[in-house]
Amino acid sequence: MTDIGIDLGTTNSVVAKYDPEQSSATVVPVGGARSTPSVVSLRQRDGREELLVGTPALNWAKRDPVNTILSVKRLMGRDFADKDVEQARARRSYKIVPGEGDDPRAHVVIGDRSYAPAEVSTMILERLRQGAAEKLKEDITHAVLTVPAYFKESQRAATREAGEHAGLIVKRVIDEPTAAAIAFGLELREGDRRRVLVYDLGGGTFDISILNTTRDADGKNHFQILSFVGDNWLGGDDFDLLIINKIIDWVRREAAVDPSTDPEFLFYAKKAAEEAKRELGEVDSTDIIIPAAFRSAGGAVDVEMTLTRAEFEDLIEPLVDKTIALVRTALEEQNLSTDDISDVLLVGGSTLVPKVYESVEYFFGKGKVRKDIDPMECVALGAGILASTLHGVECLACEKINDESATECASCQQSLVNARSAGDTHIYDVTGQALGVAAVKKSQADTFVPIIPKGTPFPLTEPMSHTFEAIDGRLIRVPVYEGDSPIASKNTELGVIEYELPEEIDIHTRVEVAFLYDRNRELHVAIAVPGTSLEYRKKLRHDAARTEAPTQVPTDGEEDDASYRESLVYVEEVTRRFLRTYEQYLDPSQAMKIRGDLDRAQQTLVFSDPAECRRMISVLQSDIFGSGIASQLYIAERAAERAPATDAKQINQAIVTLQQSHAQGRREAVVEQAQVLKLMVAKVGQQYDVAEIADAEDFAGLLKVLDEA
Amino acid sequence: MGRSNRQRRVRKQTAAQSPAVPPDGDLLGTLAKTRTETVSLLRGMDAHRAHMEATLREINRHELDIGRLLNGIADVLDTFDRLLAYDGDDVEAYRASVRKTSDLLVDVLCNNSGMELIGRSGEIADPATHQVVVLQDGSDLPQDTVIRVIERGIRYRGDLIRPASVIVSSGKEQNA
Repeated sequence: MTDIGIDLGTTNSVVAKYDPEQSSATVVPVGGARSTPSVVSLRQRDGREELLVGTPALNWAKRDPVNTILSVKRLMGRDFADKDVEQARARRSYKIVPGEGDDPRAHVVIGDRSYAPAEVSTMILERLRQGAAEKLKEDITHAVLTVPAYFKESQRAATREAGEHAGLIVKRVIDEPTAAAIAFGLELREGDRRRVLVYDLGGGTFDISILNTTRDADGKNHFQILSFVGDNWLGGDDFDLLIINKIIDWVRREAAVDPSTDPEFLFYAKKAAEEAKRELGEVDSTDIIIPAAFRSAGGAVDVEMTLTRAEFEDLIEPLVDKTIALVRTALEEQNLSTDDISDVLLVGGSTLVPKVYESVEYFFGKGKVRKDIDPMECVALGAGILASTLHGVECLACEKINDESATECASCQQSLVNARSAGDTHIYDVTGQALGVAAVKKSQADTFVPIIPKGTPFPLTEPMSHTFEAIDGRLIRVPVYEGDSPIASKNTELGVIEYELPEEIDIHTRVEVAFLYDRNRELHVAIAVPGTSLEYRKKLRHDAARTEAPTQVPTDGEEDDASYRESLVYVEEVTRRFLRTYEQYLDPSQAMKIRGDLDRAQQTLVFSDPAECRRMISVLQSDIFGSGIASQLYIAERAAERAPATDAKQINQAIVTLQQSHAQGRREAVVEQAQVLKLMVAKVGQQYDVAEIADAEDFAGLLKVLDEA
Repeated sequence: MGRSNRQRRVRKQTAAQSPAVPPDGDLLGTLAKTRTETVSLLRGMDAHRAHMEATLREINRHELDIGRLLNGIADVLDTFDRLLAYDGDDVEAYRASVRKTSDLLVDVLCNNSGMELIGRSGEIADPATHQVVVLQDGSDLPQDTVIRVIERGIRYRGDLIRPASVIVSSGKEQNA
């Protein structure tokens, strides 16, 4: 058994292995190179097709750009409709398409078939596994994989799936900043608390993560990602581009020709720019010499120019300032100042540029900035260290150590779903965002109810649960979300659990939804009916169709914020009149809810937030049209006002009869007469466009928050 | 009592407990074991000596190669000096001289350093050793044929140091 750590990067991937004799981790070269391009391409020749992975794929990128998949990590676990996928589609030559059938996830096209991004990552991981096995002359069986801190659960699941399909037992999927922190060896004493900022400037992406690290009395290190911000399209490649532009300007000025569209010239210029950037890390100026760089009518043009470090730093200053502004944003989001940060770790090859690390040192103070580990390899090294120190999973029941791939204990057959990793690293993750479900609360069908709060250490030993009420027929629909917004649709949907209640269970039953979050960041959902033996367990399906956000009040382009306010004022007045007139027909709890909604509407009018105005309009309308007999009477009276005299007379008679039955407390008669009234109004409504009596609202199987039921 | 005396006494006691003369069979067994160990040791030393000799031969060969390489490069530099001193008008003859100088440099490098240069016009590009920089339509060459080498690839002692950067034919007509 050989364990490795893999930094599955956007541009390049790195493999590392811990050597216990040396007490350090080292990079394992794959195919003679310390990093492998995260690229897959296709070679079509003589009617045959061959998939290329790594360096050969990158070599072939310009030959067949449509079939060369670069930066597939940006697409991992993302839906086709995702904004980042839209950006990638605009920038990439290859085709990005939605999955087949209901699968909403983005896929890429190579040749004549589409692949999920996880399948492409599988090819890259297979190449890394084989390359490392050749180098180490050992079979690679286990691995720790790293992912960016901002990855959602679906993206982590896709990464794990890719590793497993590549023939690896994935010991852990950990955050890149956590891996970097391990590589930098942040030694903590008991009770120590450190707040670490990881500044990760790679070739094409920039990420900032803030971690809380602490060591508890049991000697376990806890890592909590507090915040992450970044720019998906900013990196060291932009620095190269600025030098290339400088070379182009020199040729334009000195030779009076424009070489900017000549691919051969751009090839030479890019190489020279990369070399100049490297040299300016060590010396104050560098000569850029490219003999016969460009052929013009007047002969060959030689490039012979000098670039000083000061000039280079002036060029990149706006980009570096942008990264510092993002650092400031990350701190502000957590109400932190630079004094609150104890360590700053520099990760990514571009942090080797003096202007970059000096700016970070100037911002935080030189003493806090750590750059003693190779920034291009530290994430893989941290993963390699972790891979070697995790030794299976410990059964909670009998303490037997089982292999990572086991699902139940080999000794006592207990489920290992909530088992912890065994080993001496003792790293515990906490949830970066809350995990919960969409449910109905106060007529709002888009409420996010957290079940596992943000910052909860995992794996959980016991499930965490929340009790709801089924309100909408036998089919229960539980959309699971991850995020921090109280509005479910503003969070990230992880999947949906659907379950049909058996006939013997009352429709309006209580339903308990329990979440168990395991060490592999997999969410196990259980739906149970308290007081019965009914329990339904399921893991999420990430490829299911996503839940549509509730329909918003249509927005008119010309309608301004003031008009929403006016509409809310009007609906509020109608609701007050409704409450005054029909309160005797309302359940006391419903009357109280409507009063509460009216108070909230008043508060909303003070702040005048258009979105909240729209939401409150919807809530109050729901109060008017969804309050049982009171609503039926309200709608019937409106129908009578608009109906012809004969129909109006019948409706009014039915209204009086219903009111009398209600006053006499004849409940069965009330139900029957309400049904008659409903049919009369429906008939008039069909003829004269009068609103029907609303049936119970259709919440498409969502559960209702019990406290508000 | 000193440490050495204590050790001596312990040794004496051990000797007293063991038989004074081992049986013949035991002696022969010990002798056979010692012989096996000695043979193994000698084989190890032979292997080590062979390895050392091979390493020395390698170092000698390297020194010879470096000497020839430096001589060759100096010769090429001298040739450049002669070319730079040329003040005639015959461009074709001059170009032929430059080409010969270039070929000379290739010979010097490849024959004396274990280095192999990759990339020749007319060959079919291979993704393992060729990086395509430009894909060109309009030539009548078959698909993936190298039209021009922009930068030579290098293989050193079997390892690819860098691929050849090339312009290849798409195999399609212009604007097809």
